Amino acid sequence: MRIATSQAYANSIAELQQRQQNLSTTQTQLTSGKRVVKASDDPTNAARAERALAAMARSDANQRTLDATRNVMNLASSSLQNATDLLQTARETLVAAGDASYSDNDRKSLAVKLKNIRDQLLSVANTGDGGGGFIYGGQGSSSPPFIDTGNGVIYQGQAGEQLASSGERLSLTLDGQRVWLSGKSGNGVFNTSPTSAANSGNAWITAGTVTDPSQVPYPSNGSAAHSYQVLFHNSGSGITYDVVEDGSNVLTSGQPYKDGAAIDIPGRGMQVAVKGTPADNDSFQIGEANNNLNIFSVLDNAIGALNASTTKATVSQAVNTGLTNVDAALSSIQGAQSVVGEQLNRMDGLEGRNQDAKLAAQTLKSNAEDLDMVQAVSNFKNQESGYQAALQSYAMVQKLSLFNYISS
Amino acid sequence: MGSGIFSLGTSSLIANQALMDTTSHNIANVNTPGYSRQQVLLGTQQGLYTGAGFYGRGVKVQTVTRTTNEFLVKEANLYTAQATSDDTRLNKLMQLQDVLATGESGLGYAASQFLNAYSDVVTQPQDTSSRQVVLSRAQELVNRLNTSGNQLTELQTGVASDMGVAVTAINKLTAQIASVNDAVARYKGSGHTPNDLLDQRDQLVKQLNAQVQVSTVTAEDGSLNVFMASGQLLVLGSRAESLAAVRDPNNSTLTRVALETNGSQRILDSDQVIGGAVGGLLRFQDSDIVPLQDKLNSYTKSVADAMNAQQQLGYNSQTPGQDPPPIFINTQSAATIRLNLSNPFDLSVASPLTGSAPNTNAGTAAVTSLTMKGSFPASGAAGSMPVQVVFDSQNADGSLNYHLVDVGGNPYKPVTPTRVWNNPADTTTRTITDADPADPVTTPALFNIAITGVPKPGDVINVSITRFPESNNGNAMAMLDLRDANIASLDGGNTASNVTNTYSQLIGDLGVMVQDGKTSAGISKTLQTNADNTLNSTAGVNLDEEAARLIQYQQAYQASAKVLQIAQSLFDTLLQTARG
Repeated sequence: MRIATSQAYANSIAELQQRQQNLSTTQTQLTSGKRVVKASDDPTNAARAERALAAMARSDANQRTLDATRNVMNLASSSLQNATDLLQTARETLVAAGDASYSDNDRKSLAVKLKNIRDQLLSVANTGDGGGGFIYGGQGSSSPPFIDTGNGVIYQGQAGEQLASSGERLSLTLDGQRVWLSGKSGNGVFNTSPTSAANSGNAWITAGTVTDPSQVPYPSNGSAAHSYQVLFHNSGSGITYDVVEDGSNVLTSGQPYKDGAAIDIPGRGMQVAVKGTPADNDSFQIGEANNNLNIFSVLDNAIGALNASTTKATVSQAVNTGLTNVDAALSSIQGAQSVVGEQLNRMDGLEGRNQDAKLAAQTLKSNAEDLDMVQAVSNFKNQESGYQAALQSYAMVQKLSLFNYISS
Repeated sequence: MGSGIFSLGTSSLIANQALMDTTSHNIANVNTPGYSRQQVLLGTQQGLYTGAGFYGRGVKVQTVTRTTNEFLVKEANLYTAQATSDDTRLNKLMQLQDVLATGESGLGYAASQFLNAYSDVVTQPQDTSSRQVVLSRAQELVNRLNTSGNQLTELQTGVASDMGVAVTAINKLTAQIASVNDAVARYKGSGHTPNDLLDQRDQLVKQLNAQVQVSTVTAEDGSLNVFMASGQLLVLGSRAESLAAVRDPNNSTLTRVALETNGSQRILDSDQVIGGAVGGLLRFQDSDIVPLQDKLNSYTKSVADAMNAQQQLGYNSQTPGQDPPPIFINTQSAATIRLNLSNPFDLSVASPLTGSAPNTNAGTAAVTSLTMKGSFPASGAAGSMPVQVVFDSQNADGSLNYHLVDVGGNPYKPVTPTRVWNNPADTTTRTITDADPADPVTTPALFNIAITGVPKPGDVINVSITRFPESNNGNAMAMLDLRDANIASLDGGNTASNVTNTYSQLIGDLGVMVQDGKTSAGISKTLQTNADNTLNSTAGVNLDEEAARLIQYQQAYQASAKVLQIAQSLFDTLLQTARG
């Protein structure tokens, strides 16, 4: 085939340019360290790198959320520990108040101690989270969520928990209402109390126990809860008692009373004990336990009872009820403590997962767009020597012309 | 006889001179674009008849021809049209690619970082600085969208001006072809071909093909009629039609090619104008830039509208009792979108309603989330608040019936048919909703509540107006959830995915577009080079060949001169003899 001279030159120039362009592309890749500089270099991997980058940014955001919630949960954990210690002290104080040798004044000084504990508990319940919020702020509160009113401590936040993430259910606050105001009253199933303060004997009732859960009429599941009364008759010849359901249905009557012996509520799986000597027509009542035991009211009631100059029976009753309720409060606090501990645990796991996810995203991004340096350097060397050879051959070929030989 | 040898020598001298002239002409034009190698056609003079037979009378020059091949020329022209079309498109595509950056300078990153910024607002709703970060990131997103949108508009303006330049070039070329036609036609009677004129015309046609693909038909009188690929006449003999670049009457941002006939303009469809720079520009405009613009605008609109909608479901302390203002305005396109908010407290971080389970409940149900589904101010439900969700009786399958009562204890929403929570056969009933179960379209939900734990019959959940909106983060969390929601669409909402996936899809689409442009430009460039090589192997000048011919003709010339010298010495000999 004939080769047109101008075409031959044009072709070799185009070829040289192409080689130079390839060389420059490889050089760009080498200097940037990226194989995919523009989307068209490798559309699939460019899109993959884009998603990986978003995943990395997402992990960073998640980590910040984790750090913020961890901070709150650590504060919550230590405040719950404080509350536990305070309640333990309150318990010991109550036990001490039950000492029969104590005078009214002794009990009043114990009441002052309890009052002190109550105030400390209130400040624990209003612990801030360091950022203007409150650990027990629930779903929002602008000022300290617990306030001390004339009628006791009330919760003015919105009940519930503020979450930091809907996916992982990380709490930013604890539900102050649930932790501080929602203990199980009584023994958890039923409450016991004197029917009225007018009981004239010196008897008091214990919290009672459940003997047969299948017979217990509680929880009442929305229907009207049954109530039971233990009614004493002291005719001088002996003390007997009746058990009455809902004020009219007599379950048993005329049973002989023995100080401290168990009193069965027949067919209802419950058992209580009354201690001391009840007077004629003294009565005690049993009702369904509720979920709204207020820790502050527990202390308020105990303080009130200890402050009043009263009989041994009312002191015993107050101490007994107080202890039962402080235990319920402790278990409520400890329940919260375990929730917090569980969340802290879970956050450790989450943090690990989050870091793994970030690493995976980084690896994915690197695989998608980073350059294999060894291969790139070898490519560059190849292209370089190719370009050199092309330049040399160009210089050699352009010397070959018949005109060079017929010049003379 | 004596005069015979003189005339023989002279004709030989003249013929060889013509050969050398033409070779020199070839050498001179070795680099002239479109030049076809010329050849002198020699013929033998008719012999002189004598009694002793025919005596040769020497050589004569018949004509000068150019070596070309009409088929190869047409093929080269076609591939030129294709190659320039693809190359023009590729150049524009490379610019288009820079409109959508990838990585941390990209749009997708800005969109997801905007949503990520809400995570700090969620943990510290009362903190101004974290809200300020959200606003700055929103501004960044808007800036990037604007930049991309404006770059696309500029590219379009570039297409329009390039198209104008190309059309001007086409009009010049067709006018020149027409005038060359005129000149060619005048030589028709001469019996010889005007080689250099024809070369000039072929070159003009080739240049025309670089602007738009044309086909040619040679007429009887030697003039060349030029048609566009779809048959529109551009040059007929010595008359040329002219084209114009005009705005598309249906979409003023687009440019079209129109044929001007008798003072009126007829717009040509894009499939009638193919090849060449104009074909490449039209293709880029119609199948690259417009779809990308549509996709980017759809992305902008779908993402911004979803964010605005979520913002409006929330509560904002600046405008209590009204829907909060949208974050973005003018969301219809990337170039027009603007940030609407300037005050960090304009962001609606709180949820207007809060759900909570009171501690008087017997069961363990706790509210996980209350999701706003409609505008609270617009619902007019403020007077009914707080609303109570009351669990009624337990069904045999473990599900619970519930109903809603308002603040006065009256039914808040229709009570029939009965709403059922946690129906094992229907997973949608895990959510407590106030939508009318009979007709959720007419009476849509205002809120949905998700709960954990087990409610007991008689338990209630209170839904009340958020008491402390400064420290509530309900709506910020919903904003954060948009990261995983399928809110972003490239096709006006027919298919949607999340913000990141959709943007990476857009990047991938663009990458494929550019890659496709590169591939076709590479292929058509190779085809063009091959066609040019084939044509040039016939028509092009090879200097070595011309050098060899030059020597050959020089020797023949020298021999002819020798003939004359011998003739002269013969004549001298004769004269001396006669004088003697």
